[in-house]
Amino acid sequence: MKKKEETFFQLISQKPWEASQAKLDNKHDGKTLKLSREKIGVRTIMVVSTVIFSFFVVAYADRMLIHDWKNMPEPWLLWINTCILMITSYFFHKTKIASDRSENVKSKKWSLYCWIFIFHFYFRTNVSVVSTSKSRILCSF
Amino acid sequence: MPDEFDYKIEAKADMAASGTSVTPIDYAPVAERPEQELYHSKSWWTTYVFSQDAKYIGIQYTCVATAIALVGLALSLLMRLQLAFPNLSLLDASVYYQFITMHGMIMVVFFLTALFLGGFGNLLIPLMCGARDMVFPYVNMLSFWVFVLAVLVLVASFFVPGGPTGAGWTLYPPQAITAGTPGNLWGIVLMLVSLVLFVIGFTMGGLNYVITVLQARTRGMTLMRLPLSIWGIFVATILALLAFPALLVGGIMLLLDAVLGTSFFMPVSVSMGELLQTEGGSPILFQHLFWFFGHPEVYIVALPAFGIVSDLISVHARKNIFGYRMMVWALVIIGALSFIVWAHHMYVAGMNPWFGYFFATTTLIIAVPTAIKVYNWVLTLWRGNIHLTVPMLFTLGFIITFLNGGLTGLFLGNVVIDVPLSDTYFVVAHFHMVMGIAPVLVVFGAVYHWFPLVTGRMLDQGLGKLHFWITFVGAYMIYTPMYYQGFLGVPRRYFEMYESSYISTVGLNVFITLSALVVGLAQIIFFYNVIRSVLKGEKAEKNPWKANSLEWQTPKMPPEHGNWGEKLPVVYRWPYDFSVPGADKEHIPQNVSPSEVAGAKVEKT
Repeated sequence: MKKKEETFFQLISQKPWEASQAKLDNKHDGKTLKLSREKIGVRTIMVVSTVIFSFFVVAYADRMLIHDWKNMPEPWLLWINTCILMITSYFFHKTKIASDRSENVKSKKWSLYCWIFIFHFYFRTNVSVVSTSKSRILCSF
Repeated sequence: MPDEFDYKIEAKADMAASGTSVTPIDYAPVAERPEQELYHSKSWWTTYVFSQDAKYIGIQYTCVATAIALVGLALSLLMRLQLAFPNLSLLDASVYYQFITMHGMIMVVFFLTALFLGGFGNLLIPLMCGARDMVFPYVNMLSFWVFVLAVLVLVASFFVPGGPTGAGWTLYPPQAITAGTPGNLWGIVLMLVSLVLFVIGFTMGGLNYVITVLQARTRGMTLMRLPLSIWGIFVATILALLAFPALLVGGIMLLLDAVLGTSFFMPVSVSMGELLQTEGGSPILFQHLFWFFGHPEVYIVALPAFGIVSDLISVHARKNIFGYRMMVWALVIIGALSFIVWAHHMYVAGMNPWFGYFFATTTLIIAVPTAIKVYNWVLTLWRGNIHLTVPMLFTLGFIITFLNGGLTGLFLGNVVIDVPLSDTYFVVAHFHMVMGIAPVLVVFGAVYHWFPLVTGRMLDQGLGKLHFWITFVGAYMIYTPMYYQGFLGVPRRYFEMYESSYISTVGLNVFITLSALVVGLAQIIFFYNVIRSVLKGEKAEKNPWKANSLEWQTPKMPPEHGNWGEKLPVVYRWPYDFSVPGADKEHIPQNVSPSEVAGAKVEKT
């Protein structure tokens, strides 16, 4: 007999004091979801991250509605950064493949490329944010 | 096969229930997953400082949160002295606002949140769920040390040029980062960095609490067999994981406004007679972000307190909790509703009046599940075998205090009443009753209850009762006059008040301050009791309160690393089997199998 999948609200509708429920409960293995802890951990982080970025987007969009909003003057920077991120992701993937095959030298080489591009990304972002804010054009003033 | 039931086991259970067999029943499912691999420390540092054992981390959280709370307490006493004796000029206006800000933030975030979730969460979750530890012990350790870093950054703001921020604990822009507000340079930056660190640290801890409750329970421990303490901590953690991002985002954007000169929250402003070069920002946007975190924060503190109180009442009244299922539902419903009431903190912010109508309605609705909990506590006490132990005294104190704090909240939830009361001491009294005194009474009750589990020794009950009565009566001597002051219209946030032809409150302020000093000093009794009991207190017997939940069923008390010795416990019942009809014993722990209490009849709740 397959264990019936129950929703969260069905689970919290159980009556643990009833004899029939107690019999079922005694056979419970202690896990609520059929997922590994690691997968649930990653999903939880994804949910929290999504909430964070949703707030950023909503707050940023709200600010954009106000009359004195001006767009960032350097949109090309976004494209360059996007390209850098894509290249970095490619190198990360190569690193993982090399690591899975236990090819240590290749793994180190690809991870070095990763770090170079990550550093490049952060350096560019920081320099640009600081310079734009100094010239007071990140948002409108 | 993980998805299949063991029918032989079920048959044995049926035989036992019908009394046709005398064979001991061990009808637990076969362990389907390998035992958790524990980290075994190899040095003093990794055992006691960088510990990965949730019990130690819980104690570490408790100690750091308590230490910073003492700073918050000292600040409040200094503020009270200033209010009672303004002629002494103990604090000037700037320092007063800085102390208000730091007191509020320390007590709400760095004390109560950290203590209930980090302290009690770490101590109780693995033990009450029947786990050996949290699911990610290393991340759990990191969580604590990031919290410590956050506290250190916060404390550092006392020592930077300009001192800590004096913007009020809500940190509203534009004044938070505008010249003229104390700590508008370094102070506000350190406060925001500290909050960002706190949120990062908490997220690491919260991940552990949620996944341990969901996935690392022992066999037989269904969600509906969990003690309500765990339910409270579990729901509060989910709230925090969803609400803290709003604080994080608001904090980072305010940080950008303060440091990089952006204008997310800064409108056209004149500061010190000069037109600032900012425009277009929305201060109300920050208020929405802050209170989207701020109101769930009330329940992040309250829900663990609700859960703990439910367990303490049940154990010390020797009766099953009335309406367990309804209590769980109430926790979940309160948690969900807490996200749609936030703007009742903003009735006077100038938002659309229809918003006020909506949020007043949701605020009144959330009172329903909250009231259900209070009714259920009282009905649990009804005809119970009430033992007036120290934890029970604190629990009863909590119910009364939460009730009057909550009822005054109904006043403030209504727009027309809130508008005249909003800037008065009525709000201060309401807030401190419901968010300060009530949870702190639960903290004390919980400490007296679980102290033997942590130390193996009992706290002195006589000193505990003395501590309770001074704290409880003293709290009412502080806050009842404040309600009255609020009705008179005495404004909050003023650093000095003298006699006027309209309102005379100097005498009351002196009375409140003297009461606060007595209550503050009474905490010395508590700390003396703790230190004395740790060193030479009466040794506790195993399970001294005759409780049913798993934390008291470990092979050794205090529990050792891994909690359960060689075998994990198996759970056969919920934790509220007290005075069960037909049972030989007055209480039946969760890990007692049906064969050991064959005659026991299940009592409906």
